[in-house]
Amino acid sequence: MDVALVLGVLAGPASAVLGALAVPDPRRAARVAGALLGLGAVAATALLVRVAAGPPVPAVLTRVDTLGPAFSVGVRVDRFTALFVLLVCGLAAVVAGYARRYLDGEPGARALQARVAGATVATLLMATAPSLVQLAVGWIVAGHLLVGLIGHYRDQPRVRAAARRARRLFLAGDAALVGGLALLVTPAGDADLAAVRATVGDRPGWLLAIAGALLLVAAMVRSAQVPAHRWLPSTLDAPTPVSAFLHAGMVNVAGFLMITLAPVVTAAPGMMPAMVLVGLVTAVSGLLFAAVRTDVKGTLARSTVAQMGFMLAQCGLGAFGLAAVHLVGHAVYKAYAFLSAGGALQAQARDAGAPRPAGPPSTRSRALAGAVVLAAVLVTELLLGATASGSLGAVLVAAAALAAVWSALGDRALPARTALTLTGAVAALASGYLVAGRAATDWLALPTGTSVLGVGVVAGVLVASGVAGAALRRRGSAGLWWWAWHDGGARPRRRSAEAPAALTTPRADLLDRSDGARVVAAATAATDHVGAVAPLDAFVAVNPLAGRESVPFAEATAELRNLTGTRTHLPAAAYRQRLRDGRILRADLAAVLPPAPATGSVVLGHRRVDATELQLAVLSHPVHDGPPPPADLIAVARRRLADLPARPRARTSPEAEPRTLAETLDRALGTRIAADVDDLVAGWCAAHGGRPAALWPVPGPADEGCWARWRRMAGADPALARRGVTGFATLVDALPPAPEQAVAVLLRAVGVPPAAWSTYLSRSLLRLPGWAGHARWAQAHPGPGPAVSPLDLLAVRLTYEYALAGVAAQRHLELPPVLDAVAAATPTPLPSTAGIAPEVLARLAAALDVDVATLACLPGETVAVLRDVALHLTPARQSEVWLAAAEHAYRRRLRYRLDRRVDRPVAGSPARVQAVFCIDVRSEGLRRHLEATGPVDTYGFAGFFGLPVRTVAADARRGRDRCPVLMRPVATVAESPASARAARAVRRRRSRQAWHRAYAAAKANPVGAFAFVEVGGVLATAALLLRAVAPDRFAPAADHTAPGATDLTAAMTLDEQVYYAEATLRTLGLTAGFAPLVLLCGHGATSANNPYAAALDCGACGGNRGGVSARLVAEVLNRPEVRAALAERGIHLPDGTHVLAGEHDTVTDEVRLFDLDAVPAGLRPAVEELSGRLAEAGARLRVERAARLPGRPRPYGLPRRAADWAQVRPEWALAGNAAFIAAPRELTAGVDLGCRTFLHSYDCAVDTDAAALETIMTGPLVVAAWINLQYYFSTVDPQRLGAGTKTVHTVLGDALGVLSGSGGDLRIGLPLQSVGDGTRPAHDPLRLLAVIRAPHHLVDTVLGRNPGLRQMVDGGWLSLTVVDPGTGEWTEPAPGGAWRTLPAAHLGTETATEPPARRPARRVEKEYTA
Amino acid sequence: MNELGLTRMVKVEVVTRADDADAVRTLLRASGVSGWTSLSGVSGFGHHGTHEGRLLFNDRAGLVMVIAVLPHERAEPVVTGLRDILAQRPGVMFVSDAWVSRPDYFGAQRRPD
Repeated sequence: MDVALVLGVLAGPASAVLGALAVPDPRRAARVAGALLGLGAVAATALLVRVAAGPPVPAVLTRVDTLGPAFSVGVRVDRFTALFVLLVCGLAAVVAGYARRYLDGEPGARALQARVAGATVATLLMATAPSLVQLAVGWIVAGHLLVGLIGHYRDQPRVRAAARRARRLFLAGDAALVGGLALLVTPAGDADLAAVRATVGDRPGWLLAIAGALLLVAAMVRSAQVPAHRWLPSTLDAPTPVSAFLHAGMVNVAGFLMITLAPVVTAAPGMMPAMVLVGLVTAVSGLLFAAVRTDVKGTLARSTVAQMGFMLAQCGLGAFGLAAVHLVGHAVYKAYAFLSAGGALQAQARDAGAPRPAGPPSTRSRALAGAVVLAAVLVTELLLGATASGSLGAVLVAAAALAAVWSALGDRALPARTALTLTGAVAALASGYLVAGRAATDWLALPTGTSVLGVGVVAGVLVASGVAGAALRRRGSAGLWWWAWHDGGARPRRRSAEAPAALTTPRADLLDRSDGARVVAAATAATDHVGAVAPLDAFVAVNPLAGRESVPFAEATAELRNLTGTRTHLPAAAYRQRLRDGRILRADLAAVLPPAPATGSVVLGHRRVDATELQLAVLSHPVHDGPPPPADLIAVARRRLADLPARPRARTSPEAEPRTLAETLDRALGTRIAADVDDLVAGWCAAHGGRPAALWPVPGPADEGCWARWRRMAGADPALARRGVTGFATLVDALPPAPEQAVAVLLRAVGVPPAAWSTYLSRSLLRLPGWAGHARWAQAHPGPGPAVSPLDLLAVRLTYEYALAGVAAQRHLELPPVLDAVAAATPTPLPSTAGIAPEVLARLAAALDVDVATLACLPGETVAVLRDVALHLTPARQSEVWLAAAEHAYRRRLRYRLDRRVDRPVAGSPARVQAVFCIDVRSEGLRRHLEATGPVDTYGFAGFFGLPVRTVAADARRGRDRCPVLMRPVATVAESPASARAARAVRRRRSRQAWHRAYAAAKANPVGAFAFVEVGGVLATAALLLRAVAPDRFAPAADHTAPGATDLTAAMTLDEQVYYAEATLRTLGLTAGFAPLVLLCGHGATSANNPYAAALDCGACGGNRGGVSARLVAEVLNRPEVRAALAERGIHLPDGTHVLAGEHDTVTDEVRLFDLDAVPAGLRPAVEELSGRLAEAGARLRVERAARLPGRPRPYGLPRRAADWAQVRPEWALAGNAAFIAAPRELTAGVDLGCRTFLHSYDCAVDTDAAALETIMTGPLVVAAWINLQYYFSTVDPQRLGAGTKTVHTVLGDALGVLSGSGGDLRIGLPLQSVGDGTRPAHDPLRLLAVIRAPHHLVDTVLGRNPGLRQMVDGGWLSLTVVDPGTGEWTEPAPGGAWRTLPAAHLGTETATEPPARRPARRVEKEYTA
Repeated sequence: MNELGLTRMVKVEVVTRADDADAVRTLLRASGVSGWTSLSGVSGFGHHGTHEGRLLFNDRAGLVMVIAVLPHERAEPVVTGLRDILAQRPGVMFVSDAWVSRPDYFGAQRRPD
């Protein structure tokens, strides 16, 4: 039975490896692997129960004595082992289950599952090993698989470097382990653990000392002890589940080793003091490393270092039982902390909206609470019988408990009941911690021989470090801060051949008096090249090239490609596939062909081919990058091309391809100076910008700017000296205190002429578009938080560049860091020939069915035409043509559907219900399905319903701007707890916040953190179980802010309210014929553990849920005073009409109606009916959406995604958006637009002066175009213009944004998971098609009044189509202000490619009943 | 105007898109200008056609006028910088004399860091 249990434990993960690799379907494979690992965890639980009730489980399967020392192969399970086995199995099951959803669709998900299961098997083999040999084998194999997990994204250079570093260190550690274990083999040649333990007392001291030292080295490497700790933080570039598995499970094997070999540890001379020393150094260093970090996962990684140090120190004290408890507690806590790290941003947003603590806090109540928890700790420890090791635990938990109550009770307005409950809970937890710790150590029966002196030293060092930490926070040392920021020092000094080089200090006195102003102007122009990046808690979609909208799309994208190598279009190959699929027709392609380089036709053998056919041949075949053509064809092509007269050489001018000094040197010398500068600048920005999240932020006054702070700190940074720079502090001191002056000095020093400053600076900013975008946003939104301005960023960057490039230029070229001198010394070779490669001509010939003989005989002019057409249609140009063709195809299909729509029956006039939804593409689906349930008139309007306000929850630190990105709030509506109900809600928020503060303070306390993680482990276990059985409990609560009519009246005058109400109704075209019930339905999305939660919410509400705006506007429209004023302006809202607010949750498709108690009694039946119809429409929409989601989940399971912490795609949000239609609903009603169109209501008949159309086209249309362009660019280049994969994101600062893994640029745009399913894009990157149903003169009026909009249209940032309200004719703008008629649409062959309806109607019915 | 106790200074008026007004203000701040006045919702007619004072749902595309008065010694860098800023974007700059009663009010002040 016992052996069967152990084998069952092993069999689970082992079969999971096979399942992950063998099952063909990746999703099913992940499910199978997760289930098998879960079975392993169940068996491990049974094993623990069995071991708890009886003696240890020994079982030798075989004994090997033919390979030198004799050893057993089998299992050996005592209580500690059983607990460790359960820990490893449980974590593996949790991680595998999480990874199944988290990595859904990723190509490497299967390998990851297999490696997790494999590492679990290896660790179990190690943990249950009866012999040193089996232990070593398990250890080494687990390490190897771990390296594979670290290198999961091995296409990233940083990941490869991290994996390399870990592999080398692990190899060294493994060698030390094998050496140490080899020395422990008994003189009789027995390598069994039992024999080693039994004979350890007989071994010579020197041998045990050496063996102990080697084992300590192995443990130090695997558990990331200082100085072998750097591999651990650098593994953050692996997906979050890997981080959890690694930090929670794998690093603990070192602790397991020490506990298992406790007899050796205690017998080896000098080993225990060495462990205490290493452990304490690591613990204190880890605390410092963690204290300076500003991102969540980075902090967690460094805290693991500290906790591992503490565990080793516990082992060194001889407190093996306590070490075991710490190991398990920390592991579970850390796994939970990593897996839930994505929720940090939502938590920060929640904290910002929670009531601020009222001050000054009552010292008396805090002291009283502190005394209570201290007394509880003291009494418990005395009752348990004070021991040395127990005292250590008491000191730690007392520190955590005191920090918790002190922080929690720092709010004078905290209800007394909460204060009492909280104090009692903390005291109970502290006492429970001591009791449980003692019980656990007694139960584990591990050796404990702690000395009072040792405990005193450890406790003293930790307390001293805590006190020193508090002092550092007040008055920090720059040198120590940099040391901690670099995780214990900068990277190693380079080889001696690269001797340090002194810098020439640039001269500030040579500046022109206008240079500073010119730099400001140049930086302004440079900033145009980057899009503003807003904080993630108010995610707003912005065109990343918004600053370049004054030039055409093609020009701006070409410029970006040239400057940075960014991809701006899908590759032509992707479009050719669409041509083959029939999604793009040749007619689409032909309709958008650019003018050919040569008109007329050519004769190819026996047939004549015109210019259009030639271009189509180039476009539809991979002539530039296809498979190699036949060799004989290439040979002929080469000869024919050589015979042609040479084309004028296209000289690459410096202006066309500008480079910074660092890039010029990199290109010439093969160095990576520019990337080094990127790292240094990005690191500083993260340190400065993320300051609010650090326990020990960059030292300096709170109001000190970025450049001033950096200038004061940078001289102490050892990173530059390590890179061979001397005199950096002098250089920094010599630079002016104003950033624009510093930039001017450096530009002059580098020799950039003023005319080229703007280009040079834009190139510099584009190296880090995330931080540049943040700087752009911060400049336009000054606030109290730390900000980085574009000039700050440029000044820091240029200084680093001047230093590093200066050293490289001096060392390698013996030149000063002057651009012209360096460029002259390192000339860039010009292309040897102008024209095309012979392979290109050969491929084109093959595509045109021209054989070798024909090609050889073609006239020279014909060959020249072929060459020119291939030259003309470069890959970049082809992509542009293909994009236009794809847009043409989309417009053709859309028009076909709209032209052939069947008018639905007109509802009774007026309709019983009028429902206004957001223009968001997701509302299209709900509107369509709601209309299908019965008569209702639906309208579309931007989801803030025309009221641009900021709302502030009662006593909150920060408000929320509820308006589109183009607007600023006109009023601040502060929630006042006027009613008893509102006051109760505020009290609840205040109480909840006190609990959060207690939790955060205990976690952050440098001494108490070591006890906290053990208590946290228990809480995390409960949370993990609860997430499994009741995940809904963890769904983030909706926005509770509920400012009412009273608050609004305090913020806005009646006239203002009337003004906005009238504007909304007139723009909607809803000025008469009101139904008895008018619904304003906003939208929001519930998602858990999601840094991009705001990206799913309403963009028109500034990335917030739309319910609050809907409620406010409904209250305005229901006010009798407003109605009276509206009536005076010609809008008669009847007394019998009630305006109701609602909110559509786009993850669950449930619609919540607000303030139902305010509905007049006579309308309640209508509301009930509407509620039922909304539920029915939501169910239908779920069916539709489920078919579009990856893996096609079951519709009734969609609401569960809202609370699923591993879900990276709660919904598709606006993916697929392609068109904006401003027209009465009649134009689109009854047509399934596939949730791809923004639908704005517009009635040109009541808009004679184009006022409403101007509002729509300059507001919602521009916002929609920006959303569209953000999706576009995030899809075409997810790494540079998107945020990359979500699975490595770490939340930075106070909701500032996310970084990928261990650092780098601030991420911009949308994550990969928002635009793709893991293997292919889910978003079709098309520029927005605007369809306006209005007479031309109205559209011309709007375009004439708004040059910015005209530029967007003419520049191709969106395409405009006008539908004539009378004839239904479609037209588009033509040169000279004319309008060109578009031919009637046809469907072509696309019907074959329409996505099939996956679920039949029967399924819909079933779903309704589910 | 000297007889009235007034001092001659330079007045700079810039009309630009609201989106670009931040750049103008950054330039003034960087040039040590002690203050300015911003008027939003400016309307008019020019090279780019008619500009309405204010758009209902777009605060960025509207026009803003920034007015600053500064001593002569600061005029050169400000005008140079503004000329560069307006070289690539819509907007106009007017520079004229202005007479003020409190010259120290518009003189050099400590620049914000």
